[in-house]
Amino acid sequence: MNAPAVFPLVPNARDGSPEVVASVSRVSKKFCRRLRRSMAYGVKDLAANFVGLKIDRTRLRKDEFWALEDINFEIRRGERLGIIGLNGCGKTTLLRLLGGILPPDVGEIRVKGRVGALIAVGAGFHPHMTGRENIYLNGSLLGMSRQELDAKFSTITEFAEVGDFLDSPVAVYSSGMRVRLGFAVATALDPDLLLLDEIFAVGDMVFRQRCIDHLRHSSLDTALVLVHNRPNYIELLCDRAIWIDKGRVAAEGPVDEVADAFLQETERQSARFATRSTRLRAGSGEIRFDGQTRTYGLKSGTEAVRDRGEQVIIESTFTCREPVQDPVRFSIELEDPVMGFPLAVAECDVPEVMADGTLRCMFSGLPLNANRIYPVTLGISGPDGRIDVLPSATTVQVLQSGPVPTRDPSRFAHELSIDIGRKRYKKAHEPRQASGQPPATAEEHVQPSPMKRASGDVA
Amino acid sequence: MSSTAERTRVYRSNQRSELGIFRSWGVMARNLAESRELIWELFKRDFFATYRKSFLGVAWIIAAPFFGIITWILLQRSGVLNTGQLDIPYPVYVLIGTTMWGLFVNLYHAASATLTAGESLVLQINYPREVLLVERVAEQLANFSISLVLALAAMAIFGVVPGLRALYLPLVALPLFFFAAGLGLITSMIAVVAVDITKLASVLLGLAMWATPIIYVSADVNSLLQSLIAVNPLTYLVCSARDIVLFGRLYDAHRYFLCAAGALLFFLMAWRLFFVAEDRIIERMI
Repeated sequence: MNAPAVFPLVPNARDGSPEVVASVSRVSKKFCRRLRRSMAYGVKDLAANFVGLKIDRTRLRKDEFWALEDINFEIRRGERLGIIGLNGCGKTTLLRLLGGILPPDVGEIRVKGRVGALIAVGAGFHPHMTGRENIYLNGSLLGMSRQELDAKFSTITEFAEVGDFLDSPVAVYSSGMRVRLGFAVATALDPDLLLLDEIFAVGDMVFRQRCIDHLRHSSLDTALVLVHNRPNYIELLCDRAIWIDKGRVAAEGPVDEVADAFLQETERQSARFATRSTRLRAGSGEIRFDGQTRTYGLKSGTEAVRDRGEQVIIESTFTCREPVQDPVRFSIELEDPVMGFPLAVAECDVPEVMADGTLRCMFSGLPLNANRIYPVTLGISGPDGRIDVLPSATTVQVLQSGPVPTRDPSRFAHELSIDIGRKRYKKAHEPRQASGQPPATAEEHVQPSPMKRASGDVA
Repeated sequence: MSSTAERTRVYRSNQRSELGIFRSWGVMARNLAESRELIWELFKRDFFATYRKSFLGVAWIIAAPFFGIITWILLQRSGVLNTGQLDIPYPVYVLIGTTMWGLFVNLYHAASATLTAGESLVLQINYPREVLLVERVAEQLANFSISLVLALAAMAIFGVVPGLRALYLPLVALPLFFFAAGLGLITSMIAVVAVDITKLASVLLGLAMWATPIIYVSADVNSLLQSLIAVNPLTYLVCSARDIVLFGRLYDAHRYFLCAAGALLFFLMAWRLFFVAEDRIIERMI
């Protein structure tokens, strides 16, 4: 794909902003829905190429659709651009276009300098070749010369942390090691444009954190395009974001605005799906979290909690569509965005739900890191299974990291209260003591409950 | 590779067909020159790493042609072969003939899998795809040189020593490469959208072997087959490569040069087509 045409992309002399590394203008890309027809079009296009006919790519033939439509953006040196969107919205296709793997059907893409693409980590690794040999193989696939690889070899092995395995075949590597090696080679390229596709889907948490650190402190000359369907990572790493919805740009701008818009829309969509069917939003739906969910710090009262020692309050409302006379469990789960597992869970059981209500939970001493965004999942379940699960109902953020408290997953002190009508159910939880005592839990009904609890996890 | 670092690449629809035929050959030649190291790395991967998981290892490269040769010698000794009118022992005739035919078929197969063999890579990394062709062809040439050395050794056992003109072999076999690579490139593209073509081509190649006088002498067969042999370009390309080793001459010099020119032209057209259509074919691989 080395097109000979050379167009200089010069820095803007007037405002002194950095040089444009890649520009995408009016780009569209189409695909065919049916395999057979796609093959037939392929034969037809090939035949047209044989006889030197030009094919009009701007119109859709039967069963074709626009995978990307009218995409425009620029990315400059040092910029970190995130691309958000649901599955199948065209994110990976856009990366492939930027990487020159697929040509656009309409419009034009210009890319200056070297492109490092991590669309599949470790593509080209040969399982029977050693790590050392694979570094050279993978590096030359990405366009590095042998000299360059010799020079960067120690940096690569250091980052990949393959240690004694350097001269073992890659087949015996753990998948994490392979990912590390692939990432290390791609970043060693020192590209002008680095394309990353969902790299955090694999690799352990230590690696993810290292990647993130590496990317955040990477050279100012590199422009980064990161594709992910979880906006948390995008917010963590990028300054600017583009949200692609069904092949079109739905929003573009500062990362927090775009991510907010994306999350709101996804929530709205999943809510709409939920009313129509229960496909996207889990649960049988007798009770729904359908109001606003908000988060704030107890002292500061602001959405972004001032520091991590501060108590975090999460509030939400729920409506009761059909009375549930069975015991119901409300739960709040705070997820670690980097590690992807629940960081803290609070639960409270309620004997029945006959009316709308509110839920309020206070967490203390959460080991939150500044600049990360922790999604909160709200859940209601009954004896027959889930009633409602609302993922990413809201997020928790802290502005300053304090000292790191213990990583003991026996959770953190919390207090969860549920108000239904005039009744209040409350459950408090103290973290496990060093002596190994079971967690102290207290449960009280502020207003006397008319019904006896049919079941409960607390003695 | 410093030139690539400075280059601005432009991606547009139908971009490659806008490029003139001669420019496209130039671009591809430059891509190959720039990718020398990559070709070498891929070659190492495919040629040596294949045998990593075997006890005999690289010895297998020798083993296969070796057993082939043994078979021919045994057949000759048992007397089941009708030797025809030949100045040299029949096994030598067949051995060198089939070695050349094998070169053609292997080159064809290597070229025809240019896109499909690199499937996983092709969709993940952007690099000049013609590299795959060269790398795969180089692999076959390496295999060929090994089996040729063995075949020459077998020749010596039968008391036939090739003349100095056998040194022209690389030149004489070049059109064979062009024809095989051109044919292979075209099938490699069609194979992505219609797998049928690979199967069909294999069947046809099997038939073509019988229409090429390599395991029999053309004077011994009936007139229908003789006319088939006469119009088959492989007759001249394969048999000339054989005859330069065995007798130090071309099979039918006049027609050989005609076919050679045709093969070169065919290859250049196939290469150009590959250049233009490659992108469109790759997007069908998803």
